[in-house]
Amino acid sequence: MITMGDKTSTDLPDGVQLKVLTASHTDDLATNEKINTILDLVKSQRVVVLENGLSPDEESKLVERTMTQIQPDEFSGVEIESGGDPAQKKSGLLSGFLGGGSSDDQNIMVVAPAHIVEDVTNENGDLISTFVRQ
Amino acid sequence: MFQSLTQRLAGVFPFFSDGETKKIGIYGPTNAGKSTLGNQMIHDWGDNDDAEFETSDIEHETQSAQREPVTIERDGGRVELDIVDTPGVTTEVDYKEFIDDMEKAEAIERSRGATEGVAEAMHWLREDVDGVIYVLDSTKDPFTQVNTMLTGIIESQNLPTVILANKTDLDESNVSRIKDAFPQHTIVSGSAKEAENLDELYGTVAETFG
Repeated sequence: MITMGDKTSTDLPDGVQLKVLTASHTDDLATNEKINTILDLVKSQRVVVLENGLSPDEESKLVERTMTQIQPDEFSGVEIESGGDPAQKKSGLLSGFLGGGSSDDQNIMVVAPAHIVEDVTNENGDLISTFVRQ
Repeated sequence: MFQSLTQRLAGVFPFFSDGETKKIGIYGPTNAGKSTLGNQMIHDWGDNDDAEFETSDIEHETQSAQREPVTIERDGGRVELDIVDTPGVTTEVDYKEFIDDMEKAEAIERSRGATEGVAEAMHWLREDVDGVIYVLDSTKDPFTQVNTMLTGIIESQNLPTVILANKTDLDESNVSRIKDAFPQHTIVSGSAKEAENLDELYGTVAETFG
């Protein structure tokens, strides 16, 4: 089941839901609010797709908060992957190091519950894929 | 051997220290060799011969940030560092990964320690360290989400950084892809386990953080 805003489709197997958080939804959220929203969705077994991914600082806080939420046999953490090919990521690192680039240029990001998906991978920058565990 | 190493290095890289002890975090993914590197630095430059960071082949051996002082001396100058060995950063910890090596209760306890350690390490990176030695396993692909995230934080904080492309003693080592991934950073290749090329690393550390 895929939900985007109020719209829903049923293209995925039962038990796995995809939740798209659009930029308009997340841009007005404070960092803590954004992270709590993502984690609440992931812990309820939803694969979260962020139209605007997280900044490195936000991502580190997500990881830090995730660690405090891990419980044996209930929640083992998250898989995270962002879009854009590795060369572009490298350019992003370069532009950040040289003082150029924009923190607003954030790629799509997928955050998924680690206990229901295999590795989330970025394939050549134009496809993010994962396998759902049976 | 220790004295000959320090004597050989003493005249090579003159530097100036501002006299403050710098807190240098050793960061990187799990099993990259962070603790092994920390132990080599302690053995070569530390004040306490008995100090040692715990290492093993089991992931998440390092459960919390451990700190040891070292003093690198060069040509009349000295740099005092607190090296902070951190747990490998990861986004998931599952006690089942340790079941083969230990009982369930112990595995759960290890996983709990790992989560606390990673959270602490992330907080310290944003709030506490003055510089970073980033350790990468040169046999593995450096383009991972964890590396992208950590180097992004390091750069956003303008933290001086030295990258060690570690494990060059292994046949699968590929240092060039690490240099391609992080061209704007200072990269030293070597093996912490075999103590290969650490003299270049120490000189770079002294120059970067002194």
